[in-house]
Amino acid sequence: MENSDRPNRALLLAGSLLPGVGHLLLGQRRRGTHLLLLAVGLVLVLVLRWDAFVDALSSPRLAAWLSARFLLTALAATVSFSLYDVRRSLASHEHDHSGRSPFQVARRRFAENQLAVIALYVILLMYLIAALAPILAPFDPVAIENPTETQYLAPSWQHLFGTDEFGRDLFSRALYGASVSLSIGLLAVLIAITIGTAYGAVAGFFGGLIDNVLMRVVDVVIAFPVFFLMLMLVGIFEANVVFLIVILGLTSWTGTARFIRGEVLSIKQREFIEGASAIGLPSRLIILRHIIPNAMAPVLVSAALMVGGMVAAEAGLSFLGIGIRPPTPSWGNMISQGQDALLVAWWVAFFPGTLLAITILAFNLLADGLRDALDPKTLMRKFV
Amino acid sequence: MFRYILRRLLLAIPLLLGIATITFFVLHLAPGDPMDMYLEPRLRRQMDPAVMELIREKYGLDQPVHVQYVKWLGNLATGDLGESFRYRRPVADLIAERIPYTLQLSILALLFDALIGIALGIFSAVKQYTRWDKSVTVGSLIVYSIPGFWLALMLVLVFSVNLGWFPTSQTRSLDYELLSWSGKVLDRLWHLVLPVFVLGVASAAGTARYMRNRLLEVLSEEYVLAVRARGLKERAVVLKHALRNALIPILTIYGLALPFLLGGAVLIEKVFAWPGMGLLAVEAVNGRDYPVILATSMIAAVLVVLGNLLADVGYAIADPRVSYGKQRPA
Amino acid sequence: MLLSVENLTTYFYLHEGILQAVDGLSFTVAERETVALVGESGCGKTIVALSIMNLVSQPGRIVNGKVLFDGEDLLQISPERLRQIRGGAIGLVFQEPGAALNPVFTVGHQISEVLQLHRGLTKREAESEAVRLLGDTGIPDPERRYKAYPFELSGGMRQRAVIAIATCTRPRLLIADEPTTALDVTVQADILDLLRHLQDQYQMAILLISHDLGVVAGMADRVLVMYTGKAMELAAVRDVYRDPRHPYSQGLLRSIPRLGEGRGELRRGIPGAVPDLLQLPQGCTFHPRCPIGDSSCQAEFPPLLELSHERLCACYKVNG
Repeated sequence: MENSDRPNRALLLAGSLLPGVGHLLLGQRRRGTHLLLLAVGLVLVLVLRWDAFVDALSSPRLAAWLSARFLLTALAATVSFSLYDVRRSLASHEHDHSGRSPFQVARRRFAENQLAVIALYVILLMYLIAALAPILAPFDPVAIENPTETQYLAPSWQHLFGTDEFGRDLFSRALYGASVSLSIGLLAVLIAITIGTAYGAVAGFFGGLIDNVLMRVVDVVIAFPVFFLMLMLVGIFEANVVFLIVILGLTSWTGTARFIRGEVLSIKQREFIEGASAIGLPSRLIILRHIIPNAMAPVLVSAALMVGGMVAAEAGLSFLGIGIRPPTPSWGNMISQGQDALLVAWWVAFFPGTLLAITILAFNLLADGLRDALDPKTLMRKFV
Repeated sequence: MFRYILRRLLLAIPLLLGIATITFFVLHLAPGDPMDMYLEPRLRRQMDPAVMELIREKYGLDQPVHVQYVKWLGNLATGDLGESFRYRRPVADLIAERIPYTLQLSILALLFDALIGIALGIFSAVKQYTRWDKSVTVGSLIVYSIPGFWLALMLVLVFSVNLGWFPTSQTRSLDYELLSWSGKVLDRLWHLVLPVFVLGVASAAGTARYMRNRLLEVLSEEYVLAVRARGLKERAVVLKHALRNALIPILTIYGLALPFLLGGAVLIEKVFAWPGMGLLAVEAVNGRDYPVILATSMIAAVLVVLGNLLADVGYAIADPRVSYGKQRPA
Repeated sequence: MLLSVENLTTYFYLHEGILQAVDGLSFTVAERETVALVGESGCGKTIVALSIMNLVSQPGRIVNGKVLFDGEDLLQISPERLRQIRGGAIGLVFQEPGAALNPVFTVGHQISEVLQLHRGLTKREAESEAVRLLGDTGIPDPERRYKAYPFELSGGMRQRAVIAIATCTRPRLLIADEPTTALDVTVQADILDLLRHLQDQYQMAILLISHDLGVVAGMADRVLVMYTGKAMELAAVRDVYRDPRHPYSQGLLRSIPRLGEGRGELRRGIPGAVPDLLQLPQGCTFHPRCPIGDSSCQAEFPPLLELSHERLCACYKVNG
C-alpha cells in the first residue's frame, strides 16, 4: 500500500479520541461501530442523567457510589483502548484478522452465528444497565411516597413499566432488579464452576479410592432434586443475597465436576501429559497447566447455560418468597408481587418476566453459539 | 431383568441414605430452635416450662443430634415420617393426601412433553435446514427460556382472566360435588389444562431440540444408508429404523428430567394453588415445619431415584446391546 | 448390457471447497459378469457404489451422468421405481458388516422385512424363508441366529447376514463394497467363496469394489482401475495382471506383497500418497507420483482411449 493512500496518522489519533472513529477511518467497521456506540451511549447517560450521576458520585450507598465510578472508568477505558488499538493497527499495518489459531477459528465461527452475536450484545447491554442502575433509574426503587395517588399507574412515559401497589416506579425497580438477578447468576456460576472444576480434577487425576468416594458423593447430590435442595437451604437459613449466591453455587457444581473428571481421565491418556510427567513436572502443575485449560472450552458452554439457569432459579425462589425478600427488588419477587395484582395491574408481573425471559434466552443462545463455535461438526467425508 | 431391577433397587439404598443424612444434618445446622416454630415465642413465655419439656420430649428434641438422627432413620425405615409441627398430624398422611396431585400434574406433563416434544423433534429433523426446522429450533429455545411460573401467570391473565376459558386456580370447581360422574372428570381435566401445559411445554421444547439433534446424528449413520439401499420407504427408514435408535437415549433424558419437573412443579403449584407436594414443601420451609421438610425432600429424592430406575429399565428393554450391569455404550 | 454407467460425476460441496469424488466415470457390467473397481482407499470407489444406487445425500450431489440399469436411468426414474430396484434388482454389501446392520433389530427381522417388501411374502413365509437363506449363507444354527441381534454375531457371521439380506431378493446385480476388508484373513476366503456360490446360484452380475488386488484376481472378469474419481485403465483381469499399461496400475501391482519378500519392502509400489480430493494436481492427477510423468502431463487430464480390443487406458505417455 502506498504511504500517501493511508489517512493521516494525526487525524486518526485525534479521531480516535472519539472512540471508534479511528477504526472506521481505517476500515475496521465492526470494531469501530461498536466502540462508537459504546462511547456515545456512555456519554449520553452522563449528559442525560447528570444530576443522578453527581448524586451518585458522593452517595453514601455503595451501589450508587460504585456505579458512578464504573461509568467514569468505562468511559476512560473505551477511549484509551480505542487509542491503543488504532496505534497498534497503524504500527503493525495489519488489518487481517483471519488467523488460523483455534481461538481465532472459534471466534470467526461464532461471529457467523447472528443469533448468538445478538445474544452476546443483549447480555453485555443487560450487565451494563445493571451496573449503571443507580444512575439510570429515574425513581427510588424502594422508598414509598404517597402510595394512594401513585398506586397501580399503567405504563406511561413517566413510568415506563407502570407502578406497583406502593406507587413505586417499576422501571426503576426492574433496573435494580437486573443488578440483583444478574450478579447472582454470574457469581453463583463462578462458584459452581470453580468447585466443580477443582473437585472433578482431583477425582480424575488421583483416581482409585479418592475418585470412587468423591464420585459417590456426586451421585448423592445429583439424585437430589436441585430445586428442592435450594428451597430447603435458602428457606431454612433465611438467606440474604450473599448466602443465596453461595447456596446456588454449592448446589450446582456436580455437572461440571463429572464433566471435568471425564475430561481429565481422557486427557490423562494422551501422550503430552506423559511427556510432562516424564520431564518431572509435579502432578499439581500438570493439572493446572495442561488438563484444566484443555477442558475449559466445554465448561464455558455449560457456564453460559448455567447462568441462565441460576437467574431462573433465583427468580423462582424469590417468587416463592424465600429468595430475595422485599423491599429489595429482584425480578422474581416483582413477579410474585405481580401475581397478587394480576387482576388489576398486569404490568407488575409482565415487565420483569419479559426481562427475565430475554436474559435466559440470551444466555441459552450464547451457549448454543459457543458450542457450535468451539465444537465444529466434522464434515461428511466419511465415504470418500 | 428381575435381578437387574433388584440390584438397582439395592444400589439405590445407600444413595437414599446419603440424601437422608445430608438433609437431616443440614436441617440441624440451621439457626434457631425448632420449638420457636412449634409455638409462637409469645405463647411460649406464658407456658409452663414443664409442659415445654414434655413437648420437647415428645418430638425427641431434648436428645443430642446423633441420637435424634439414629431415631429418625429408624422411624424412616419403618415408614414413620413423624408428625407435622404445623398441622399436628402424621406427615405420612399429609404426603399421602398431597402426592397424588403432584403425580397427576407431573405424569400428564411428561406425557405432553413426550408426545409434542418427540413429534416436533422428528418433524424438525426431517425438514432439516428448511424454514420449518428453523422455526422449531428457535421457537423451542424461546419457549425453553421462558420461566414456567411467569408463563403460567401470563396464560392465566389471557385465558382465565380475560377470555374466561380456563379456571384461574384450584383443582376443582366450587360446585364439584353437585356434578355428575362424567362432569366431575371433565371438571378435573378442565382444571388440569393450564398447569399441565405450562409444566410440560418447556420440557417438550427441550425434548424437541434434543430429539432433532439425536435423530440427525442417527440419520447420518451407515446403517441408515444400508437400510435405504434395501429399498425401504423413507417413512420406514426414519420412523422405524432411525427413530428407534434415536429414542433410546431420550429415555435417559427423561430420567434426568424428573428432578427438574419436580422443581418446576413447586412453582406451578404455587401459581395455581395446586395442593401438591411442592406447595406443601414451600409451606413447610416457610413455617419451619422440620418433619415435613425432611419428609418432602426424602420423597422427592425417592421419586427421582425411581424415575432414574424406570428410565434405565426402559433403556435396557429398548436397547438390546445393554447387557445388564455393564456400562452402557456411549 | 445390464448396467451402463455413463460420465458419472458426483461432487461434495464442503465448506473448504468442492470435492470431486467421482469425475466423469464410464463403464459397463454385463449379465453374470464380475467387474472390479480397483484403487487405493480415498479415491471415490464407495461413492461410485452409492451413486449407482442414487443414494448420495447432502452435502454430496450427482451433478452429471447416467446410470442405465436394464435401460432405465436410475438417476431419473420415480422414487417408487427406484425403491423397487434398490434391494430388489440390485443388492448392496458394505465394507463394515457391523455398521451395515441396524443395531436394535434382530438379523432375522431385517431380512424378513426385505422379503416382505420385495417378494411380497407374508410375515410367516418371510420368517421361514429368512431362516433358510441364513442357512444358505453358511450361518450355523440359523433358527437361533434369526433371533440374534447384530452385536451378538461375529464379524464373519454379520457379513454373511448382510450378504443374505442383499441377495434374498435374487438380485441381478450385487454391488459388493470391500466385502472382505474388515474381516479376519481366515474368514475372507469363505466370504469370497460364498459370493461366487451365490453368483452361480442366482446368475448375478457383481460389481466388486476393492483395493485388494489378490481378491480381485480371484473374482473378476474385468478390472477398472480408479484414481481420484477418474478411470485410469479398463481391461480384462488377466491383461491387467499380466501386462498393466497405466503407470498407476503398474504401481498397484508392484505393491502386492509376494512370497519371499521382506516386510520392509512391502510398500515400494507407488511413492507418495493419494492427494487431497479438494486440491487435485493440475492435468493428470497422478503425475506427481508417476515414474514416467513429466511437465507435459500437467496440461490436461488424458482421455480414456482404446489401446487394443476391450483395453482402455488414460495416459498420454502410454497412448502416445
